[in-house]
Amino acid sequence: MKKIKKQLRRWMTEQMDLPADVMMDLPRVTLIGNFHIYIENHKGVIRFTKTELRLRLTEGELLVIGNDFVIKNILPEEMLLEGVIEDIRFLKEGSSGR
Amino acid sequence: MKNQWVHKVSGYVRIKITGPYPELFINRCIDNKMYIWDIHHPGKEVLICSVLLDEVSHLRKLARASDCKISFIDRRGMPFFMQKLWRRNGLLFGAFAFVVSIFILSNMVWGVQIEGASPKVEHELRQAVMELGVKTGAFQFTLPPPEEIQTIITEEISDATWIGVTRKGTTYHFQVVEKEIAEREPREAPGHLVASRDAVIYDLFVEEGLPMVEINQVVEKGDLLVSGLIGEEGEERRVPARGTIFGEIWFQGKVEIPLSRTLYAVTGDKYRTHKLYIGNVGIPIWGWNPPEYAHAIEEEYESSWNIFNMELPFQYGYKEVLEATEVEVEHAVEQAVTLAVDEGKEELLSQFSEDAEIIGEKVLHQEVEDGKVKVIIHYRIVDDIAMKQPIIQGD
Repeated sequence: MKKIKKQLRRWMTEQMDLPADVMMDLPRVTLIGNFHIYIENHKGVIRFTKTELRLRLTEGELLVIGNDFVIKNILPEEMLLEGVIEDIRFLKEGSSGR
Repeated sequence: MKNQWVHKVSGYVRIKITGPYPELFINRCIDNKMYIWDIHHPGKEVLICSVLLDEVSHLRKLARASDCKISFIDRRGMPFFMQKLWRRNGLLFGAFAFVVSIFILSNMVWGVQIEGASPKVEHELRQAVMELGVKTGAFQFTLPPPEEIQTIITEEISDATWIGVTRKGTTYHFQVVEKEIAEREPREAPGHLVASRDAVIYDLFVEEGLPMVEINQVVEKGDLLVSGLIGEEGEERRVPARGTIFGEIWFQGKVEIPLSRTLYAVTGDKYRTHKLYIGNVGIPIWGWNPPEYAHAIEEEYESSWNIFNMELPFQYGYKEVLEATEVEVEHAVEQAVTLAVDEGKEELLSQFSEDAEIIGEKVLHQEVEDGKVKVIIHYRIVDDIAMKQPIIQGD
């Protein structure tokens, strides 16, 4: 049932030209240079250190690697990270990330 | 997202979260709609973040649920600042007391100055003013405004024509104009007026005395103009004769004017050298290689910088070198003659009094010789010719 619903949504997005992040509950990531990253639609922090940020998403995880990380702001659905960003990666659920 | 300054007003705390999994605490906070920000990671299993002061009470429960320990590091924002300030309330009271005392002291009368009054009037004025309450130490807001003081005081002090009252800061100024009985000019010694030079009487204005001459009468030097003896014959009174007697004097002047003159005209090329004066020594600071001009006019300037009416020991100055060229100016003969007339006029007037006036001039003769014009001019000058002469006893 869940799978059907998901497929329906994907189909609707493709056919009706709707923004994917709204329809399919996907993260929206905005980068400003390499020092600000703005992430919407996250589902919680898994890991946060000075060099690494791991966020839970609806499907899988988002990994941000860099230096001097500081979470400037964090709200249930969005967050702003500051620091020197070197890498952004999407991970499948359960993988180590490294 | 709220603005950062809102936190500063409502107050916030920095907390340190220690535990095996501090991220869990952060997640719990978010789920509970708590606002946290500025999360740092100083080391392993430690996070530092800011939390609003209003939400501190929920922290314990959340910490227990996420197996973390919380310690407070820093308190920031208005409430804490006020607390700190209150702890140093001596400072606060001091500042307040300072403002209050400045206000009170600047609203007191600190001086009464009286100008232009004789000692007697000054004493009277001081007394009157004291009664009104204007004295050192009185509060200005208990006193009537200066305009009112002025009317009261001017009425009270009869010896003064006018008293001006002004308030300058903490001082009251009283400007007194005393009634003065005009002193009579000391009477001059009785005397005649006689002519100081040969002239024809042009006009006469006698203030006192008996005029002895008429208009157009020719007088010689020393002739009696206005007599100091008035009244009937035999019973004359002696008065100091006073008056202005204008006499017309003829004068002949000889003026020579060269027909050509060499002038220096500035071409527009100039060069400036700048100097710094320390004491009287000038040190050139700019302009090292002034161009060499065949003819040059130099103009020097030195500033006079003052501070508190004292001349500063260092001054700035410059010298301007203006390039000039020789220009030969040729006069026509007629032009030279008018020039000569004017020149003669000036020279002549300097020999007479300030009231002297030239009423006519005529060129008698002119001749050109050796590139010069020689002009003989006849001037008619009107000047005061009256001169005092005391009446000698038995005259």
